[in-house]
Amino acid sequence: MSGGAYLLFRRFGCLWALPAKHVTAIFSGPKPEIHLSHATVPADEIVGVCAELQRVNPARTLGAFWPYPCQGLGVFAKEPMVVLLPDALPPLLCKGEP
Amino acid sequence: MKEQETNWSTVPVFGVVLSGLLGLLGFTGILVGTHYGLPRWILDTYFVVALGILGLYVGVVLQPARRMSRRFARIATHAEKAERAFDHVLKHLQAGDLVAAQEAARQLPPQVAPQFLAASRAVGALVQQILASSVDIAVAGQEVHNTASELASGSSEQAAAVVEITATMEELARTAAQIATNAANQADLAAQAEEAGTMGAAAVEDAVRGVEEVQKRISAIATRADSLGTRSREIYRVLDLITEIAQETHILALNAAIEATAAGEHGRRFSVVADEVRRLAERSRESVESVRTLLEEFSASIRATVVATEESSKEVAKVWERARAAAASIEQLRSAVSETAHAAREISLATQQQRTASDQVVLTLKEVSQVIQKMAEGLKAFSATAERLNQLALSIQLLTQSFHLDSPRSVKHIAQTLADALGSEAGHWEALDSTFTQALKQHRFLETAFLTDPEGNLVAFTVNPDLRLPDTAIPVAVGQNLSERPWFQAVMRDKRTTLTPVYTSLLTGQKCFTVAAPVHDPQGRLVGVLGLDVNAASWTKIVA
Repeated sequence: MSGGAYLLFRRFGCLWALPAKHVTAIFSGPKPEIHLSHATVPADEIVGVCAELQRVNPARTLGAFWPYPCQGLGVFAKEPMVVLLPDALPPLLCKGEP
Repeated sequence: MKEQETNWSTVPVFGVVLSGLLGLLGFTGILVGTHYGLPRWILDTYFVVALGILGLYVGVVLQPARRMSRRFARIATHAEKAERAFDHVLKHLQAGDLVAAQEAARQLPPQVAPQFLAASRAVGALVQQILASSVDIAVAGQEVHNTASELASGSSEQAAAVVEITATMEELARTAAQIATNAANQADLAAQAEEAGTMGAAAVEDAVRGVEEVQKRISAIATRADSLGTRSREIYRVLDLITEIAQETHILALNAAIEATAAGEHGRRFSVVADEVRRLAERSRESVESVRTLLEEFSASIRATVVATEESSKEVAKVWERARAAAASIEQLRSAVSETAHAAREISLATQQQRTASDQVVLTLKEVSQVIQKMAEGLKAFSATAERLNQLALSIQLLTQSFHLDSPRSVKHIAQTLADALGSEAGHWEALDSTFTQALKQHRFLETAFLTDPEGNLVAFTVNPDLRLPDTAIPVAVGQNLSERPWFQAVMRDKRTTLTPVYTSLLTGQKCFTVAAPVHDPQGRLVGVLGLDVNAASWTKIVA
């Protein structure tokens, strides 16, 4: 299943994906920042833009481990990731983390 | 004197006879003349003249002659008395009995008695003075003998010591020779060591210069390494700049990709370009990282080089310091070796001189040893002479003792006094031992006191208790006949106190002499002979 391009970034050692169309800008610095229209997500590393991402919808099982709303799980270069929902970003990933 | 008296008495008788003969001759002539016619008056005149001459002769010559004869008879009597007194005195003097001589001198004529008494006292004083002087000579001789004996003994010890010292000096000379040889060898070795030290100092100086050169080169390497470090930091800055540009490029490529994604289908090409740019940026970043890694390795190598050069520089500095210290030590060692060589040469010379001096000392010591041996021999002879002097002084004392002096130092006086005491108690000799013991205690130089009867049979014999001799040591026994002894025979012959020559006592084994005196009872009869054995050495000390 494909839903457009995704921006892949690494944070806390895991690979994450955001829909590229919701990204307004990427800023470099000591830590790259991904600016969304309503939030800023710091990243350890910007992996790149993936035009085609194999994605699966979130299942009940995923909910047992990831309580936040998301678009599902994706796989890039045999590496799994969580495809984030821009409107429901986990506070853990947002700038100003606790 | 009698002859003179006879001459004087015969003179008037001779005159009378001569006158008678002349008268008879004249009378005969007158008778003849008368017979032949000579006148009678001539005969008468002749008788008158003859009678007158005879009367004149009797009055003028015969009477004075008789008076002179009586006077000469009195003088002859006095002279005979004086002669007997002189004879008595001279006999006592001949016997050496000055006490009896002085007593007898009281019978001399008053004109000569005082002079004789004065002369006798002077002789007695002289004898006592001779006795005292002989005692002093004996004491001095004994002291000289002792001192000479000690000096002789000391000289012998000195001679032995000199012999030992000579042997030691000879050993010292040999040792000095050995030291001289060793010192000469030491001087040669020191000279070789000095030469080696000079060479070593030069080598160390070369090493120091080499080390300084190494230090300079290490400093140059350090400078270059530091310069490389500086250049590396510049490269780092360039790499950082490239990395930053690559990141910016990456971000820009990502943003471009995002924008291209937002552009949809139209942005796909651009997305490809952006993705390619992003890959280039990624490769640039990777290349930069590779360069950085290489540069870090290079920097690490430079730092290691710098550290190594610093450590090398420090080590070189240490080596330089050590080399300098070694050079200074070698210099000091060379100087010390030089001084040692000099000292060794001086020691060699000094020990050679010492050997020469030791040889001279040995020769001198040998001469000293000979002198000491001669001196020891001389001292022994001197000691013998002193011993002879002592014996001579003792002989003089004995000679002086041949005089009977009224002095407690006179053994004759002691013997005679004791003999007189025994004579006064003649017939009551039950306590002779106590009398003898008392006398022996009073005169400690007496070894024994003994008494014999006139036949020489021993009546009493007492040993001085201070000698502490056992009875078994007494060589005679009461009742033994001693009439053959010289002292007994001398007393019996001379009837006076006598002294024997010095002989060795059978009792003590020391030198002694015997003084023997006749013992007379109050009636003047000889009732015994008293003998006293006098220890010569003790007597000399007592007298002194």
